[in-house]
Amino acid sequence: MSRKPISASDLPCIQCNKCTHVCPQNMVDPAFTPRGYLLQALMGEGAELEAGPEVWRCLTCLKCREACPSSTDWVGLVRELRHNAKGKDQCFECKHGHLVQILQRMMANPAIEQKRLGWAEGLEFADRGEWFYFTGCLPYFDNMFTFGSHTSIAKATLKLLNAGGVVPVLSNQERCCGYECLWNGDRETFSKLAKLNIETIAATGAKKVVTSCAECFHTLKADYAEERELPFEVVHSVTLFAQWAREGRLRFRKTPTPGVTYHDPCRLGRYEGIYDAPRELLKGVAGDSFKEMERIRGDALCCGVGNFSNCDSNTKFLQHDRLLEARRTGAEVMVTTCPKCRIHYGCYLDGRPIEPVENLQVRDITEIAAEALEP
Amino acid sequence: MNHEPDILGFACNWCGYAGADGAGQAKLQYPTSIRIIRVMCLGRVDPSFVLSAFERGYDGVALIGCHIGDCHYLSGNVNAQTVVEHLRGILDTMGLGRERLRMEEVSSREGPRFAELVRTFKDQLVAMGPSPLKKGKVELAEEGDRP
Ligand code: SF4
Ligand code: SF4
Repeated sequence: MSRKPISASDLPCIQCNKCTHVCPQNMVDPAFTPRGYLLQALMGEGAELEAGPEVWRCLTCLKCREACPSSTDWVGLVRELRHNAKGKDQCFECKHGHLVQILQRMMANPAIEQKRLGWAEGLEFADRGEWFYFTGCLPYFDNMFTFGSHTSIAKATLKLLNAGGVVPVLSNQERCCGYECLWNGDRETFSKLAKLNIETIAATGAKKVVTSCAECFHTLKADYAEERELPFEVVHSVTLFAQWAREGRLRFRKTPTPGVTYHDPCRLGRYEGIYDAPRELLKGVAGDSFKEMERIRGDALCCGVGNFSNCDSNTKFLQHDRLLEARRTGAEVMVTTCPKCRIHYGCYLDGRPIEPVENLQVRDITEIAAEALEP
Repeated sequence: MNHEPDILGFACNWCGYAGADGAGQAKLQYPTSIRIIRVMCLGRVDPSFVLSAFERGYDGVALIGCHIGDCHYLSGNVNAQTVVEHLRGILDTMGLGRERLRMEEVSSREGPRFAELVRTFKDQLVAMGPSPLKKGKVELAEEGDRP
């Protein structure tokens, strides 16, 4: 399947300004206005936009499209403009020195033979089979964001899969999904990674791919499918586990947990429309101690960072705002289904928060569920 | 297989680089496999610099700085130690092997120690074989090259 580039003249924007009103960047910096940028693009000034910092500051959280009456694909245009900018070497200043993209470019080289399964030692997995567990970058994150374990999410997912009677395939040949490269304008590396991953998965005979990351999920399901037809189905672990819990295939003991609340990640929520499954699973695990925040589902606030690049003081403000919102529900744990949301919030809590956010942990849904699993 | 490894060294201005200079002034022989980038302190070495070097095909990277406790900025080399430990974890996961990244303490008067470290590192990299990311002799980056 080939992709048609988005051009500004195709965009049906009516300049109503709804997008600007819901935009989290605009909430902190009134000068950031997607409506204004769209006007620029519609007036044929796309090249100037491309060269400026605005396209790199958009969090690609998709709140704007949620509000837009004409479904204008501004985020699609952002991706396109970033791609063009990259082609002209108009790069952005990455706060991590492009670390994630460097890793992904290394992995895009077929000569690399990874040893990424250290975390799974002693656990049950297979080399071939119907199910493939796509771990994503988790094994790398343990050495990159050192304020906690990230492979704990992978372990919890594997444990839940096993408990549901599935022994999934894990592969050393799996590579990062390429999400960061794609959204930072490096489509070339993304395509290489997509090709290698599709081949790796297909070679194991897997027909169902499970991910425990909202971004891997969306990337595989939507963006890989744009590259070529997929010989497998992609499912986020939370959908699967909620379904298994409903069928009685997974049983949880309702332990009295401290209050929990749920943060919708953009790629699972606004991009893929999955809002109910995580809530169903959380209620199954935490019962009545599950409480909703004020801004939920399509209206959920973004974690403040897109593709590991545009973290700044605005980000910190958004994170603080969201964590306080979580705290206001009385919850002590804010649960999410995206390891990267957890990293970004974790980074905020571990670093220098604007003011301390007491008694709040950010955790992944799989960890909570695996701990509550009935033996 | 015999190959000529490429090594990138980050040497701090006060100790590592002065040590390399000392080796040169004393006319000590050491392999030409190493290219040195002088930094004011090893604390300046961002993880992305090291990974970028591996991406470009370097077989090994060495961070050469002051002895622990002698850092001119107090804790730069201690911070670098932490960074190196995590980068080694990444190199293991990537399958390149943690041994390709070294951190060495060389004071400004330890020219012989510098020469010795380049020799042993080179031998070790010859034994390990070329990095899987190597596409031939690593070219110097052009001005304006971005990661
Ligand atoms: S993108 Fe949509 S919401 Fe924003 S100004 Fe245009 S029509 Fe309105
Ligand atoms: S994607 Fe998010 S950050 Fe970007 S313009 Fe839309 S609402 Fe604002």
